[in-house]
Amino acid sequence: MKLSRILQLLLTLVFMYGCKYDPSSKKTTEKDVIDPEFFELTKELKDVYYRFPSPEEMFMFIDSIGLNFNPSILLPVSQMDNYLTSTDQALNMGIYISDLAYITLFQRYKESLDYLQTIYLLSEKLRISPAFEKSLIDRIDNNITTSDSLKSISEEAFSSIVDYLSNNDKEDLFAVISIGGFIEFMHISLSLTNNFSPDNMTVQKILDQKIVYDNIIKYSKDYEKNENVRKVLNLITPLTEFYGRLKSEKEKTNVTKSSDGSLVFEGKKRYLLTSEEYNELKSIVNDLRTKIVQADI
Amino acid sequence: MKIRYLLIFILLIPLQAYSQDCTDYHQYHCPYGDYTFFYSRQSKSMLFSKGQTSEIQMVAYGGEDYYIAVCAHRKFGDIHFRILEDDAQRAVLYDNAENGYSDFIIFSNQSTKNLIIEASVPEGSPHEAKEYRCVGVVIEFRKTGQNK
Repeated sequence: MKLSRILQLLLTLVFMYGCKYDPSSKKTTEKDVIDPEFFELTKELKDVYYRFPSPEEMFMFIDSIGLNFNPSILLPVSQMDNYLTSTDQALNMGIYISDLAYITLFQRYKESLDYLQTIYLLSEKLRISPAFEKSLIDRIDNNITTSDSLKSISEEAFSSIVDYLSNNDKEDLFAVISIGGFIEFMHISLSLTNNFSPDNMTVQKILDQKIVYDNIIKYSKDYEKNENVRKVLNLITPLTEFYGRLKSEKEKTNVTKSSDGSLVFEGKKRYLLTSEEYNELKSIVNDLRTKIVQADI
Repeated sequence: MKIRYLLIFILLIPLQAYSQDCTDYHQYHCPYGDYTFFYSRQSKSMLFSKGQTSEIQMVAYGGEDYYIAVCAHRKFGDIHFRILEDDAQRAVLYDNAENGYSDFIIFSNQSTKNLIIEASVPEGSPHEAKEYRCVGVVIEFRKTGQNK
């Protein structure tokens, strides 16, 4: 009898809490103080957080030099049904996310819709589809004809996935998705850059992505306990070794002030690469991408 | 026995809610740059207590301007943040203590590099050390010269 009364009281408290907490409003308020006893049970505090740009930001960086649109280098959406394990699904979701970032750069509405739907279907397979709120799906159906909406929907879809994975302690899955996304970004960039010259700006910008790769690897290593993450880190060892051998010359960073008073971090950096090494990079990326899209890891 | 399991389940419900608290703090509390800047997914919110220092390692592309803003609950006081180069020397490129603890900075970056944004919350009284709150960092970017 006593126990059922306690239960009744607890249920009432839970429902009262439920009424107060509004999940539709994502805002954290100024009043929020987080109880460490609860928090320590769910997440450990970290000293270092590794961040890296989204595929969209990576393409924006390369774009200033000019890439052309070539749909034949993308992973066809029809392949999606071939991915049966969670590792293959996550890696190829990363591939499709990078493909979508490349497509939206060229404002291809029809292809964008196909790739967004494929990403959504893969998210269902990975059981992370709640990341996509219904309002976002409705906007995809209704607003796909304007380029700005398309870009913002694509960005929102990516952020929704990132936030959902982070909120639900699924960063290990995000690590695998990010590795897939990076490989596809490299595949697209290298496929569209045929003329090698060590001073070619696009080549140097592609090599600059080594720093993005380093941060993805450091981020992923935080989740190495997960078998899928370990497996994928092992898969990409040839690329890690290649980047480990990559040489560069770098000037010391000097901080100066521009005429408008803002700071400038000066100092150039240039990667030293031979034509043979460039072809080796292409070959490593091509092999890795083939293994991922053929679900042969 | 069933009631015991139900009780455990009910008691665990708030854990789920608390684990979601900091994720989007920066999106709603940090100041943003002007319309020439694009929001970067490298932005991040973190959990802090008084006296704590944590860092974000971010990629800064060459030929881009960056806007970086830091925000936190007012009870944390002025947030000290520095931008360091990610190398063995960890050279300090910017320190907001030398700029009146300004909550944002804009800089142009000439070559792609990994940067460390180090954020510190001032020490508090011993009982405050167990108070955990969110600290947000907004990162935005634009091509250098795009504001002209």
